[in-house]
Amino acid sequence: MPEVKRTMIEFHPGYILLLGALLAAVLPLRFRQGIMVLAPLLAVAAVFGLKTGTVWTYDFINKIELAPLKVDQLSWIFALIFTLIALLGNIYALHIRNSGESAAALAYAGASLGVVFAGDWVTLIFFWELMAVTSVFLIWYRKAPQAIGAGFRYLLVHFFGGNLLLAGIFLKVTAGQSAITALTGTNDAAFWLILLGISVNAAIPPLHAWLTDAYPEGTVTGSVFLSSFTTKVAVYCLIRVFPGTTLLIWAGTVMALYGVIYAVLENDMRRLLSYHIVSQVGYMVAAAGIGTDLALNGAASHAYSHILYKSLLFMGAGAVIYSTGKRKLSDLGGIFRKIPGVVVLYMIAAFSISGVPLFNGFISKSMIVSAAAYSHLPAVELLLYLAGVGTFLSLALKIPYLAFFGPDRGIEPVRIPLNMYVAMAGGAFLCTMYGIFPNLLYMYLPFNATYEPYTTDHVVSTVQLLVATIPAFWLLLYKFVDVLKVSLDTDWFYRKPLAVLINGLVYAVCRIRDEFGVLGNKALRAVMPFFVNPMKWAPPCDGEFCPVYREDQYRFSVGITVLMGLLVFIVSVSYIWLVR
Amino acid sequence: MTTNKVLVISGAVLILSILVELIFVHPHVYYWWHGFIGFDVVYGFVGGLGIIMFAKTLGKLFIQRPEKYYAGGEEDND
Repeated sequence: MPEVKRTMIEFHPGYILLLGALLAAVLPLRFRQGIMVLAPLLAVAAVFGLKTGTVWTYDFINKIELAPLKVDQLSWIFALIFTLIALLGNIYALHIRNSGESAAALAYAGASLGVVFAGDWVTLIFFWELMAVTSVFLIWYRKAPQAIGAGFRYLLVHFFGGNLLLAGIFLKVTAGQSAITALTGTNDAAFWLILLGISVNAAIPPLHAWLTDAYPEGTVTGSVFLSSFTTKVAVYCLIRVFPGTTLLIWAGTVMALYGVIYAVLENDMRRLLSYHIVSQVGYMVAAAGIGTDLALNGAASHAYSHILYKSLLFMGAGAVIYSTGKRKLSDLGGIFRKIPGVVVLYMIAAFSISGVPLFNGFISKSMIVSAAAYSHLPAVELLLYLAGVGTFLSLALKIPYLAFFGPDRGIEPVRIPLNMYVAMAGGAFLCTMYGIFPNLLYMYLPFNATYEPYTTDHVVSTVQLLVATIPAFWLLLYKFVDVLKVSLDTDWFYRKPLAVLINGLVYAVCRIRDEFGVLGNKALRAVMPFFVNPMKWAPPCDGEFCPVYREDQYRFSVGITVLMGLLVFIVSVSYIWLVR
Repeated sequence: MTTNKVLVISGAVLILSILVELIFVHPHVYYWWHGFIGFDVVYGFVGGLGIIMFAKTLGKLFIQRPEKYYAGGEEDND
């Protein structure tokens, strides 16, 4: 049983954000903007105030012990990046007028921290579901019909995944193991259920389509939050619960390439970025599967870097959508001279995700690739290395060429609010800072392994790999121009065949009901003449005292019916109350 | 930028990097490709071409549909 240590100066950073969400929902605009900055700032401070080893425990029903706050180095580093990105994301969203959206974003960030600090399964599933129900509003608040539809699909898939997780957690908790520990027993149903539930949130194909379906449909500011939390919370859970699960190595490697291939085909800017979330999370999933100290450090640090550069990419894409009103690459082009600030900040993020030296992707991605090589997985090393080529291709060459530098289409962007620039500059600063001084990140890494990214060997190899991609892109450039297509993904199965199946079933049920209704009505009409007047069957009346049938004679009044209902209700309630 | 310019500039950078690799780099060889001079150049170029060709072929054969496929879902601009 963990020792209970509580001091007055320790706060749960997630609860600060949840409280902030409540206040943001009710306060007027000016105060709300204050809360949107203040709550994440306090949460960052609270993270720095937490000591590793701290555990809060509370007794709950059925002798389950809840641990809403359990701090170790792994949860601490994830909490740090989650609170930092909550701050940047809220600054980016300061100009929005919709109080519901601000509240949803804060609550979503708070729920993510709730999962990260959860020490037991019950707390985890509570905040896991809270993440799903708060984040869906960041999609719905765009209010376009396809955003509403995508939001519903997002919610259904997450409820499905959440229920798998819940089923696994039921098994765990009823077996008396309510504390979260690493799971290994592959003969255990709980192992597979929990792994599947987490895999849905980690967007491991074929369970990934909710991400690329819904994230591009979110609001401009909401997608920044979406891109940061759900998948990285899942990565955190994989590191915590499934380190060294061999299956994950291959799942992650497939993911890394899957996202890259789809990104090459994609024309919608934010959907392209979403496919690169799948790809980048693939690196982390593979690293969690490798499970050595270096690989797990790689997974944690890559999640840290990824949150910074991916949110910056979504901020850049959001700024383009905000100012031009266009989301498709084929509609954009030549806006470099009109919004140079956005382009420069976007390029910093693109270089970071591609693993260009001096940017933060390099210091974490290379750690995972090296960990694969050190663990004698040559195929994994080469394939993850290849995914890096695809990342550079789509994010640092394709998007900039088509959207920013390509043929000018005479677009006149509107002015972008200052707060959006401030948030992007903050993200770009952090991406570069960690890239130049990797030890600022490495000093907080949870596992016991050291790594040196800046060897001449690494730097020269990376430069060669990425520069060699440029002529390849340039030679095949004609293939990227004006591709007006959508790509089918695994969401096709529930958007087309499942829809046909459900519509078919609904139609069949309605038809059966209608047919029976018609038949029943016919039968009723046929027998009605015999029952409409019971006196008809009485012996014929011949005297002076003939009974006359009155329909209302034997009916209760409405008042009596209500009284009876109330009596039954009161009796049942008092029975339950007394017997309880 | 013309195609030639792009090819010449990236080619020059690559040749320079190979020279640097020849002179300064002492690689940790876990597998043979870590010690193969210029492996990353070949891998980046061929990998880049391969990814694009593979994706585009797959797209043409199986994956891609007209934009209106999901009832025109991609049509809005906001």
